[in-house]
Amino acid sequence: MKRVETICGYCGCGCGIYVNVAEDDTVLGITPSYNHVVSKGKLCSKGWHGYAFVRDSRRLTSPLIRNSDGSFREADWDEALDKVAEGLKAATTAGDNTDHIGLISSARCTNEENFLMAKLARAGLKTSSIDHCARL
Amino acid sequence: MNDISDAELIIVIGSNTTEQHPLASTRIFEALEKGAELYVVDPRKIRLTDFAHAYAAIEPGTNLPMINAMIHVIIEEGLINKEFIEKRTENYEEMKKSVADCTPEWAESISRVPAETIRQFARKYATTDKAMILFTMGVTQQTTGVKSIRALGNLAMITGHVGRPSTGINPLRGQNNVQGAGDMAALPDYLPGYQRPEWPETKERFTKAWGDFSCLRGRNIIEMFNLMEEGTMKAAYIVGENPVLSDPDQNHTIQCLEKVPFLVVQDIFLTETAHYADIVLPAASFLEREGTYTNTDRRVQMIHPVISPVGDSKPDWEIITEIMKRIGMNVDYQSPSDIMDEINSTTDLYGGITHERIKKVGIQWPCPTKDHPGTPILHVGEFIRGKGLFTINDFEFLGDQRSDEYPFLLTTGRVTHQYHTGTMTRKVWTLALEYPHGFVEIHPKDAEEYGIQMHQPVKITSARGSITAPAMVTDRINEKTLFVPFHFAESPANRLTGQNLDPIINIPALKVSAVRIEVEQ
Repeated sequence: MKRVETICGYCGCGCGIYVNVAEDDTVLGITPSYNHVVSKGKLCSKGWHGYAFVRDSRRLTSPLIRNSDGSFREADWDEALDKVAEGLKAATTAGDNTDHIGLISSARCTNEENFLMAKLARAGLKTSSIDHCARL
Repeated sequence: MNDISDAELIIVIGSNTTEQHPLASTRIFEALEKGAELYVVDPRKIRLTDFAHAYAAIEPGTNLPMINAMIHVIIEEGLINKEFIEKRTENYEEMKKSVADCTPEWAESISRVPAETIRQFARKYATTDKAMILFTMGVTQQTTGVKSIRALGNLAMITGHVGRPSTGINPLRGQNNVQGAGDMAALPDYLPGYQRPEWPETKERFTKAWGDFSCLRGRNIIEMFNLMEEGTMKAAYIVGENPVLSDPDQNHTIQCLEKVPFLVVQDIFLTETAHYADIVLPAASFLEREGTYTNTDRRVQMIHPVISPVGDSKPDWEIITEIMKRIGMNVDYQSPSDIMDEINSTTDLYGGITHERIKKVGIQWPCPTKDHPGTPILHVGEFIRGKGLFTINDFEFLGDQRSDEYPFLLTTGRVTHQYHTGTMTRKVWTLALEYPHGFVEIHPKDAEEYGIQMHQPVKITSARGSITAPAMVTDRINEKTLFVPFHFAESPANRLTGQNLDPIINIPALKVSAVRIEVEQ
């Protein structure tokens, strides 16, 4: 068993947790971090239990592309990413795209990922329309 | 957050802290054990009220009159901090004039909080040395949200409760990285680090780093959806959000998503929103990637990969990098720490926060350089803008109010064992067991009037739509007020909420909707 120190992924408290993992990558459970500056060894119910969704059978495990009949089919990454780039490029105009393309980023994503979303929007797609759920 | 436990008075406004921020609430209890007093303002008798020394059962959407009346009392009774006002603020006289008529009796007529209670809050706050205010969405999600926060700023400044340990007005952030998403400019009107795109030096700095970029004031989430409905918005890319459940007026949200010609949704599950996508991209969860989150204390902390990504899913940063390359951007990030390097060089608040430095313990921004220790308290000695500006925040009724057709006010929120739209927590059986489905809280008197029994299914209708949920009859909610948690797809609170926006920054008034209730036939 290995023990990996990380930060709980739920609310804005940012509690310290150790995740206990078996050799085969099965998540066995959570141990609070006693020396963590925020949580000092305490956790709430979501902190203790909230990891089980990670292995839920309903997790998305492959890109999906919509068929003409409305259903989804599984696709490989190359095809899906090419289609995403194609679709986004098709919506761009020669000028500024602030009214044509919108990006909604996430308070669930890391700082690095949000930075990339901001850069993709403003520098890549030339749109200033980017937001996340802080308003909601 | 450690500051909370040293406070002598904690005023909690519109924050169900024990349920939403359990660990922050442990600090409140630590303070209580040391003799602090707790004052609570909320339309529901939340758990904290059981421990409170004073409680104001306020009408949803009326924090502003109460705050202005507190300021009125403090000025009238000479409890202001003259030295602080003279040295560190401006525009005091104008603000003073604006609250001259805001008597506690006037505030009582709107907020239903007894004038004597408002006086008690005001006196206690003004005369306690270490007095801090905690708030969350119960203040912001109303048509007067921004004004209310500015009024809280006035309140803190007339009493000098700013820039010292265990004082200030402190928002608790709802999601793990809502602070960081704002810091990194997932916002239409900022570049990373709250730099304004229209500032010449910022424009120059980012043009150097990013090349040409769009530097307008962009569309916010509400405006984007409206542009989808109008047909102007041709493509949308939604990452890790579920607006079908979390945004106001669900029927409107769905129409917009159906209308936009090209929609990409990136998430860990096939969410209610992903059902409307043209392409769905599978993302890795927080246990499957590396990077940093910034907590409500502005503390930037590392997360580490625990297991490898499930199935063919990928961390969001890898997916976004791939898309950047495919639309022709010249990027080559090998790891999140490469991205952090770019953040360091473009964003002074994060200038000295490297992955290497925060491997063990996080650092609080602002941290401009690699040898800077970080900043636990903001506004010490001086406000970021120099002098603190008193603002004028007149109350007006905007948006939903009770009527003959809709005699109740609905407020929304969360329960402790669930999280946001339930995408993750409803799949954890131990948590799902605690609250398997949604419910609507109603006061026993109202339940009797409408012939509603405990657990009986009831129908709630607003001008936007209706939902059905079992009744939870409890005197923890004000009369003629209802509460529905928004986690549950089968009784989605946000089908009822509307597009009544704060006119300043367009926060929807999710906490105030006029509704009627009837027994489900």
